[in-house]
Amino acid sequence: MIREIHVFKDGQTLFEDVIIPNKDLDTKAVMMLVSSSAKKLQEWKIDSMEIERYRYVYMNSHDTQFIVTMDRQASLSKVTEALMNIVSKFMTAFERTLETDEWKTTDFSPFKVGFRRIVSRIPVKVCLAGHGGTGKTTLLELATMPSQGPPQEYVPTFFGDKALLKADFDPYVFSMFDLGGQDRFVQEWGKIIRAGSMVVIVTDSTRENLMWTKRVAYPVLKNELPYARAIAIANKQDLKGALSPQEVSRILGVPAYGMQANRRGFRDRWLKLLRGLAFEEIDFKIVGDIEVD
Amino acid sequence: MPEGLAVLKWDDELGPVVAAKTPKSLTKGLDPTTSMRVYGIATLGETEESQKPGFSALSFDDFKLAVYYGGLSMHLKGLPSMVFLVLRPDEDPDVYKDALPELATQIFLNAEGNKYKKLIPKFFKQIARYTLMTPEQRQASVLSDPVRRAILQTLVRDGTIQSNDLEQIIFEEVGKKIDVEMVLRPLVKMGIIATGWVEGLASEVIYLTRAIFILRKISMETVRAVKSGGLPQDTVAQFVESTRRYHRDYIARLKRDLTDTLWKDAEELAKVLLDFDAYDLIQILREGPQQTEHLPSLLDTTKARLRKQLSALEKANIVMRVNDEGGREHVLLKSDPEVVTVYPEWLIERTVELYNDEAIPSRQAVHYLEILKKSHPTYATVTVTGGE
Repeated sequence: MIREIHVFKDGQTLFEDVIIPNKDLDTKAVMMLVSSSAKKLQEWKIDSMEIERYRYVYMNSHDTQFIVTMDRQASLSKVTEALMNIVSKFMTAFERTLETDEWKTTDFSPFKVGFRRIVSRIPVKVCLAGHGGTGKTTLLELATMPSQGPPQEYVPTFFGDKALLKADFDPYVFSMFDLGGQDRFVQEWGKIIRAGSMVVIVTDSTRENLMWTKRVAYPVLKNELPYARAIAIANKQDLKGALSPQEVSRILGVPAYGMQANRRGFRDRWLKLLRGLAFEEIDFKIVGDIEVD
Repeated sequence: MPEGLAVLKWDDELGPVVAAKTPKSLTKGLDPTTSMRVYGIATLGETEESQKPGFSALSFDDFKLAVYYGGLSMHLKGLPSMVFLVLRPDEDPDVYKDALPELATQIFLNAEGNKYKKLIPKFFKQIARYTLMTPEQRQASVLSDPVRRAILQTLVRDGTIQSNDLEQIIFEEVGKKIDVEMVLRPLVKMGIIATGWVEGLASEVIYLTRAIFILRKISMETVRAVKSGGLPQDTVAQFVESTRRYHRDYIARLKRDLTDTLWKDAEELAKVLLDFDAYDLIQILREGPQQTEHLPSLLDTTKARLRKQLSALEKANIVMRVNDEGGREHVLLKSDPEVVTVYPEWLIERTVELYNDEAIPSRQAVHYLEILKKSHPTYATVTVTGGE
């Protein structure tokens, strides 16, 4: 998931587009650091550096530094390819401008459209993790098959399932992975969840299920996706005895949001939560920071 | 006949992705849920064994799949790692148990630069015929592959090699890094090579247990037919003279440069044996000479195609055509290409030599001599007798 781009020349910003603002780090200071590294790179060579949950992928061309910020957990090879593409598109449009002093007075902002188009080509991976029967497949179908309506019958998912989701997430498209929640499949998650930017921990809001999540799912998630951001879904709120989202949140140590995935009316809420998690507009937790008793 | 062939790869963001398919309209088995399940079945389990390459047959409501999985390393690298053959519900996937792994190996070997994509329609056309291959053709297919030929040449010369060194030889031969295990698999299955670990060595060791060649034999059925007077006298004389000269020359070439003659012939003759039309013709001629005019109906082919086929085989010194006084043209086998496997007796001495020259470690030499002992034809007999 590409979060932002900055293009510098002679210490000046030519172009920048911040899709998701970085609230953790001082972007200005980080950019100064990364661009000084980028300046030393040979023409068209790509390098990257990691700071906390972010990866900065950078390149130097025509004495111009291109820096893309991505989720550290996402796939580097795709972002590297995307950066090549971005720079080559930028050069097609502005190569001559950069070779003269014209760049000092040029407006590079029209490049935003091309940049966002490239960003949209890398699907953002969302992993739905939780025990069998908590409603992961229901949530997947609630989001991706609105006309069909959520399934009312429980059929355990074998290994996993996936679907693409386009909604009000521009420029992003989500690649939703429903991870098989039977015990025998949890140990297989490592094969499926690589490069996941976001994790939605799905629970049925029972104490027993929350204990299972902490005991079985957390170790796998913390091991495989330590830099991903996570929320919990306190599903099945309509059932008698369901723990409240606040209670689920307290026990799991992850912000939890109430849900009734088997009801079509909850689709909007579900999509808003996904959007909120992607754009970091709601409370979430970094998987590696989740505390385990 | 399968409904289609598809190649899938694993994309970290997207999961299983169809990298190539034929026909273009093929959709069965390729939906996200099914392809994800197939990946699950192929990789399920924590052990290394459960994630190794392998064939599986799967049944769904309205179709079946014959699947070959290329292994976790290809899977995680995002290379083509799964080959699907989509079958009708009444078909038996196990029919493709031998053919699909071989075809998948060719696809995986052509992964670089996506070369396999162009080959998919050709492979799909071949798959049905692949299942009809005789054991002789299967053996020939090993010799038609330049990488495997290079491996066998090395092993026929030295008998044993470490897999790291073999990787280097292959790299020099074909200019790219290739998964040795994948290339060796059919050779192990055919009992031509064995692999094993030797204490103290960094990589697996590969041993030759049977050498495989394609030799040109004199067709005894043809000679018998000729001798029994089944052909006009003038035809017989032409054939005997020509075939005698050819085989005398062939033996002289073998004596002069055994290696060069054998391997050049292996390449050429394997191609002939794998050409199904040529092979059908050879099979008929192995039973005895035929008049050219009878062949189109026997082979279910046209006269023009037959002529082309005969010319090619004549050029390869496999058949000859002779005319009798009555103007009839006869086709006879001049040399019969036969795949043979032999016990590599010469490698006992060679192993001792290599050991004395310190070209191979003592443990590797001892291990190989043990293997040669166990695979010696007389040892097998003794074991059986001992058991009685």
